[in-house]
Formats: sequence, structure tokens, C-alpha cells
Amino acid sequence: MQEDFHYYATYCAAFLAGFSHDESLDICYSAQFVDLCSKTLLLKLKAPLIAATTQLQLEMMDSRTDILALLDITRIWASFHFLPRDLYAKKKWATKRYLNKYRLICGPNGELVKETVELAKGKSLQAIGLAMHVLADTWAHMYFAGTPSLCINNITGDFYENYEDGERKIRFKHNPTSPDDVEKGAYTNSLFQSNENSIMNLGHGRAGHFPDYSFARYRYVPAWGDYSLIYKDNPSDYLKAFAQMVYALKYLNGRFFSFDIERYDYEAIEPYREKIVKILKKRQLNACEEWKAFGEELSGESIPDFDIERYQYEYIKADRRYKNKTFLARFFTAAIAQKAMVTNEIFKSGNILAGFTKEIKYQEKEDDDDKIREWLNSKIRQ
Amino acid sequence: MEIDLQANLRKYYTNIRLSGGFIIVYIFWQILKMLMLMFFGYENVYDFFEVSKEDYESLKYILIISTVLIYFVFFSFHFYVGIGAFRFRSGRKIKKRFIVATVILLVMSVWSAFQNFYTDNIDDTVIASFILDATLCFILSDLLITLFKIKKSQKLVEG
Repeated sequence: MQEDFHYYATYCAAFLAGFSHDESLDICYSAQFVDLCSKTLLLKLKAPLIAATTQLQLEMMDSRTDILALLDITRIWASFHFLPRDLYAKKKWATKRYLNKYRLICGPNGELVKETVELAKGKSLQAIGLAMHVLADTWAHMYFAGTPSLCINNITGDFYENYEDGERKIRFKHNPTSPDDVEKGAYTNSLFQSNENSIMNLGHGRAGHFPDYSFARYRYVPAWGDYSLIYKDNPSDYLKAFAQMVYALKYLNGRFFSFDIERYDYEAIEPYREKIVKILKKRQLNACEEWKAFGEELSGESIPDFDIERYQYEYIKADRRYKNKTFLARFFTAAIAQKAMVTNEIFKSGNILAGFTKEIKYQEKEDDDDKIREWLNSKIRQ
Repeated sequence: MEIDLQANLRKYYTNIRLSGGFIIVYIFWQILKMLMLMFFGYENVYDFFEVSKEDYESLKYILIISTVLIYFVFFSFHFYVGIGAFRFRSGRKIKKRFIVATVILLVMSVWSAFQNFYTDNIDDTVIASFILDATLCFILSDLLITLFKIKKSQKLVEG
């Protein structure tokens, strides 16, 4: 998914779930920030590199494909963008080596989604936003895996888009500088590389940005599917993602006592369903304007455009004692915990593709904050 | 069940296209092998045709033309089968002459594979050549089996 859904749609979902305008802004900012928190940014902020939730194209170009580098790539992408659906999936005649990758295929309503949402319970708004990003991406990135693998993520040339006027074959080109052409059905994808672990075979690169478009309805033959055809209906899936987000946010808000998979809060979105479906179905590369207008209509407040630098100054200038309380620090903490949880679950399933990580369970200590402030005030008085 | 049939058909079509690709590449290998033999394998043209100098002088044109014809027929068979397989698409009817050509090519390839050993000096090049010829035999057999499987599956889908 892209900014229109991760930022604006998440804001809408948070507001519908009962969060205030400011809380919704924090949540949606964090949700979008997952797509931008790279090691390059963390180096600039002098923040822990382990908190990286994405990799820039330039970082991936420089990336090696030895075991450690693959481990690093898988940890990031599987934890935040391609959450595995079933870590214990079985496939006939599959070797262990193949199964390790097959089990990383992303999909909604897996056990890890439940754990992701429950991990954010009682935590900061940043953790909630991060969880919403992960949840939303399980719908868009379905059937692709967050590890470089030709035998899982490759597609054949039979890639057809369904739209109102009929069906047409998608023409993929390898020109990342030219934008996708919705009218002509020409989209950019990654170059075919026969190397199994090439970075070109990561995630949905072979299908380009196409799975992230909310209007897309398509059928294709994935490499993992034994030549079976996959039908993907993004408007329907994105609507489910939105409804599930509202439900998850209500759980995190305390309105529901538990979070179960395969549950959606259609009741909450019913008054706005037609509008949401219209936004999702509109054939355009970016639906930010429509979602923003919808969000502002819901809350009656203005939603600022996403600014990556909004909280950077606060983090850089914060005193060491208060650094953990800054917006970005809370986000980094949530990211580290999410990565630890997912990679630990992957490891526990007998899969070593994400390596081993110690699970971090943390609790924010509010009382230390008051003690430090009191101590400072006493020093000032002296 | 129809979904499985469609999936199987897709697998078979891909298999055939891959086989066709290999056969086309094999043509280039054969041309390269022939050129290497001509320029580096024989000291003179009489050894290539396995005739004496006097016989070559009298039968020069017949030998050259018949050799060219034989190679032409040989490569044409490969090309016809290779291109036909490579271009094979769903919905296309499997022509009998294509199957016959594939069978003939398979027989030729099996004969060619074992002919490699009718020589006094069996060295690495002979073994390499045999491996490639044997691979071609396998590919052609696989192509034939796949063609029959497609015919069978198509009948089931239509039925």
C-alpha cells in the first residue's frame, strides 16, 4: 500500500474507531513512517539501526546477497511489509529449503497479524500506527514473500488486469523513472534476474507497484502456485483491510475486549461505504486527495500533509534523559519490538531465514519521568 | 477439478516452450561443433569427407552439395520442431506432422548420440558431445510425452 492508505485512510479508520483528531494524526503518521524509516534516515538521526522498518532502493542496490545480508533483508520486509500468513504451511514434495521461503508468503488473517495487534495493546500511539501499517500491508501484499526468492515471488507473462471495459494484458517495462500509465496498462516492474536470491525478486517487485493500487483487479500465475491462477480484487480487499483496521483500532482503544482474525467492523463504516468504495475503485495512481477530503469531512479538522521531518528536530535535540519519550523514539521502540516478535516467531517455527532475535517485552515507565522532572526542578531552585 | 486441469495445461505449455528453446539453442551448438570440426578437427578437406585426394577431385561438387543438403535437412528438422514448440500456445491444435517430425528427430538424435562412440579416440569432447546429444533425446522424449498429455487434458476440458 502507499501513502494514500497508510496515512490518510489510517487517519480515517482511527477517527472512526474513536480516537481523537490528534491521536489519529499520531497513529497515521506512524503508519506512514514505516515506509520511510530506513537505515539512511536512522544514521542521520543517530538512532539505532536495528529500528529500520524499510530499505531504500539505493540501499537495496548496494545490498549483498550472502546469508547475513539476506537475513537482514528478510527481517525488515517480513516483519513490516510482508507479514507471513502461515509459518507452518505444508506443501507436498517441497524440500525444507523451499518450505522456509514458502512459509513466508504474506497474507491477511494469519496468527502473526493477531500477535502484531496484541503487541500494540497498551502501548504508544506509534506502536498502534505501526501495527496498522503491518495489518494493511497483509491485504495488499498477499501472495508475495518478504524475502528475495525467484521461486516464490516471480510471475509469468500471463498478467491480466480486469476493468469495466473487459480485460487486458499488463505490459511491464523496466523504466523506474517513468510513471505507471493507468490508461495504457503499462507499469514498471523489476528486471528478471535468474539468481534465486537477487534483490529484484523481493516482495512484489516482479509485479511492480501494481498490487499497491487500490483500483487494481487482476489475475496472474505466481511462481509458488504450481501454475494455478490467482485472482486479486484490490477494491474488495482494501475495503476489508479498512474495516479490519477499524476493528483493530477499536480493540486497541479498549472498545473490544479481544482481537480475532476474520472479523471486520463493517457496521462502523456502513454510513461511508459508498464513498470509500468510490475512492478505492477510482483508477488513479494516488488517492491521497480523496482520502484526505474524506478524513477532514469526518473529523472537521485539517489533516496536515505528511512531513518526514516533522519530529526529527525533537529527536535530535532531545536530552538523553528524555529521548525515549520523543515521538520517534517511541516509534523506534515499537519497531524493534515488532521485528523481534516476528523474527522470533519465524525462528520458533524452525525457519532460519530471519535468523534469531531475543523477544523484547517492554513496559513504559511513567513514574521515572516525574522523578527526573522533580529532580531537575529542585536543581533549578537551588 | 477443472482448475487443476487448467493449471496442468499451463505447466505443459511452459514445458513445451522450454523444450523448444533448448532445441533452438542446440542448433547453434551443432553449427558451432561443425565449424570447429571443419577448421580445427581435420587437417584437410579429404579427411573431413573421408575420401582420398583423387576421389575428392572427381566427386568434389557431389560431396559438397550432398553434405550441405544433409546438414540443411538436419538443421531444418531441428528448427521446425524447435520453433514449433517454442511458439506453441494454448488453443493451438497439435498437428500430426509436428509429432511425426519430433519422432524422426528423436530417432536421429538417439542414433547420433551413440555414433559419438564409433571412434578410436574417446576423449573429453566425445563425452561432452554425447551428454548434449543425450540431453536432446531426453528433451524430445519429454516433448512428445507432454504433447500427448496436452491432447488428453484438452479432451477432458472439452468433455
